[in-house]
Amino acid sequence: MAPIILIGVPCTANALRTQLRHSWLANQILNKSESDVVFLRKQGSWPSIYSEFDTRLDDAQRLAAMIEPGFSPALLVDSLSVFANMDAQLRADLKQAVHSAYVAAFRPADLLPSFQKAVDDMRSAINTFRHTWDVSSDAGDDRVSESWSHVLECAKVLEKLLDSLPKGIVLP
Amino acid sequence: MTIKIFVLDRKTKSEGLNRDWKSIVPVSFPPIILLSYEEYEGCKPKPEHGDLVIIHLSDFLPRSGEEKLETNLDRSLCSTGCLRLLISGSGSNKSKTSQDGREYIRCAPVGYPTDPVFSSRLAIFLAYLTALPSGMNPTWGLIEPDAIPEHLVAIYLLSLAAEQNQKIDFTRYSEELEKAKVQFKALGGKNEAFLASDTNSFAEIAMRPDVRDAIRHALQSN
Repeated sequence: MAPIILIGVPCTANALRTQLRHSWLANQILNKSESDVVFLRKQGSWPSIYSEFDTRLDDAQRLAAMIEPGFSPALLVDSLSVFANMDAQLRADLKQAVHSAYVAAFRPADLLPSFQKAVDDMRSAINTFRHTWDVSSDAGDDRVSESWSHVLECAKVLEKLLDSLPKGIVLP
Repeated sequence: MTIKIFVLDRKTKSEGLNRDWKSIVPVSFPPIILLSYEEYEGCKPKPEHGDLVIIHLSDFLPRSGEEKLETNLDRSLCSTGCLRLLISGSGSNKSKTSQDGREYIRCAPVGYPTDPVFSSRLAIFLAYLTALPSGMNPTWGLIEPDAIPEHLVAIYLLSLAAEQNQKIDFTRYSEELEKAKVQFKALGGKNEAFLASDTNSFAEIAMRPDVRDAIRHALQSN
């Protein structure tokens, strides 16, 4: 049976997924072609590649750590008013039970290796791009373009993986 | 005078426009009308709608092919004479000017794009601020924020736990079960075994595949 995704329930993992997918990848990386980036370099600077990209990579790493717990229905046990007065042991038991059902149905651990690799590849590609940006001479447009092309490839892989994550808390 | 709040975003419904906005705009916010650029083309404001505040979310660097659409939208917005609130999207890191020379309000300082959670909430808040001082009474759009059926979800979680061999004392949840049944019926659920169950019988009922499927189906339809 396909899992139910509870859209509209606050879910930190999904908010992080959304920010990475839209604010960073779609609006800062994938919307720039190689020629756009060469143009930016000729204009003088692109502060985001130093200030923001590392933060976003760290966010992606945080999301990797949240892939199993961040979409679990165990989160609902703490947020639903129905369970507000539940005693601590029963609450813990309930959370464990629903989390086990979720892990068995959704198998989040299966996503983690490919997601982690995508984050690592993206970090490596951005580091290489930054180095190329810094050291290339004015005639180094081809090198900048080539390294950005690799960033785009890695970004597309990461984007696809972000799209495959749940868009909210999962009910198995 | 009445206003409606429109949110125009470049994403289409197939890309999860409704889903992304619903998941990041708090449910306590008023309903908003969500339109993709393409849908807006067929939904221009009309005089009988009253004065309109339109929030126009735009990325600074539109994808190729969208630039012309965005320019046309700007032009059509200018020609309506309606009150417009122009917000640069979460990905914008430079200023942008509309067709009539108005600068888009940036959700963050230049060079520091913000995230969609912040920018969407800020956009709605600014719409309030724009509308209220002018004496307009905001009236709300067609899309109601979804409220999750809490009791039905809670009962479903308890049934999951019971299936995992956890001993659940359902007699403690008689009120919740009744409310869950009301929510179930409101979502179109029709399983008689579930609707006829009480806290004594529910422990067994909850394990039945047809009951679980019926509750799942109802939750999916929400």
